[in-house]
Amino acid sequence: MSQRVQRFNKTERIAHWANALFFGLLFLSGMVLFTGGIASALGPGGVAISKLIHRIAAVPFILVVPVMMFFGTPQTTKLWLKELFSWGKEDFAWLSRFAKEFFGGQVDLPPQGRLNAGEKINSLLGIVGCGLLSISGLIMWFSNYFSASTILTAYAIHDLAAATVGAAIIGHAYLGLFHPGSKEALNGMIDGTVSEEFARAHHTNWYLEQINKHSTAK
Amino acid sequence: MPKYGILVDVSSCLGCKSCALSCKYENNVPAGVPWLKVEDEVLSVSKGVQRFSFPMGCLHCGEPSCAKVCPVGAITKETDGTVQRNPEKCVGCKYCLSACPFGQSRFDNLTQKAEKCNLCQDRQARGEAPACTVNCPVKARMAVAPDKLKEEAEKRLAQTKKLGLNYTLYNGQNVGGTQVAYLVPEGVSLKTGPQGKERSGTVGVWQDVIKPVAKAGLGGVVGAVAIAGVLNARKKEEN
Repeated sequence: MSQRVQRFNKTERIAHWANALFFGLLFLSGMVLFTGGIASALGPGGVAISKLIHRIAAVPFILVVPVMMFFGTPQTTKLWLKELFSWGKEDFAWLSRFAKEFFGGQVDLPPQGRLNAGEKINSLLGIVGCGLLSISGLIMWFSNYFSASTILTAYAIHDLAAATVGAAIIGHAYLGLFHPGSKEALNGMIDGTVSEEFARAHHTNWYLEQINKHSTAK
Repeated sequence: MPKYGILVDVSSCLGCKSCALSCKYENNVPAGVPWLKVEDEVLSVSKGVQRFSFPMGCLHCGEPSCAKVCPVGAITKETDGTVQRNPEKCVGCKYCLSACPFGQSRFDNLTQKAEKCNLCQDRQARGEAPACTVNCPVKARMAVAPDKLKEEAEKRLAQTKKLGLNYTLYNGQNVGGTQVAYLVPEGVSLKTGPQGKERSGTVGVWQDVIKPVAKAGLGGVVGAVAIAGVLNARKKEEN
């Protein structure tokens, strides 16, 4: 058996899946509320249940991830945020070549850190999008405290953010679950480790960093 | 065209609420979500203090914001000029509540649906005038055929002028014309009155811009993922 490399710690993994679960519930129940077709297919009972799910799932969606990020392992959160905002030439080169790889082409992708450029974009969209969804959602929920124009703007922002994050997550889920090149990444989110080969091939810069850390520690 | 629109003469309304009572009785309006509500405003004017009463309900706009924003098509502008809602389609998202410039969409917490005046659709189908106009003791709320409305308004305005009152016609010039028109005091701004209310600039942004873009974007991503899945699966088979 080959060596395994630790990629995500327990807090990151739980936060990731909690976010996935609650976002999934909110996305599906939200689609029901905002498309007449699905709503009329489900009937009044289905709509009422969707509304209830949307309200209930919203609470942990807003609370769980930020709480885990700030109080779980804040050190990793800090590193993660730092990573998201450090962009080099290799990241842009990676992005420009990634499309070909996505559709099954053979390309040499430039070396990446713990997160590749696409994962960084996914994370950034997630943070901004989920933040906007939470704020606009709260405005719509507690509409008594806001002016009509604020509420109307919140409706528009809520839907724009939901569609953007939804699109990102559909792509993200495909890459993690089905894409032949990146399936191994799923293990990183389940038991926290990825194979040494995967780390070396897909996240070269990060892998070398880990090796160096390890050898200096010895 | 419907048989009747409504003309409300603010100069002669007593604020007796018989219109609101008739409406509630006729339509079994649920508690707490009046279709018609009599507003009272006391304003200081140049000659002292003046009290204005007037019934407010759905104005049945020519370009209704509520119908525009409804995500499930539960509110429609009918060919007879009225704006109607379909409670079976309503999902209770409250979008119409903040979109109505006049604040005449109300939320029923019991049914979790929006409520508003339907201009007595059933009575009109029988050829009867809307219930709110029938019991008005001073004909301040009058059923008028829509094509006769301007004529009637001018007749009334001439009378109020004789009394030394300066009134003007509001019939929803800024919302595509309304089925319910008002004779309102000129130079007086009534907080709950119909005049000076505008459709919000954000009405339509979601419907005309965000929704089509979001649909195309989501569809594009789903399509790309499907194509990538097929191409990669085929490649795997070749190897």
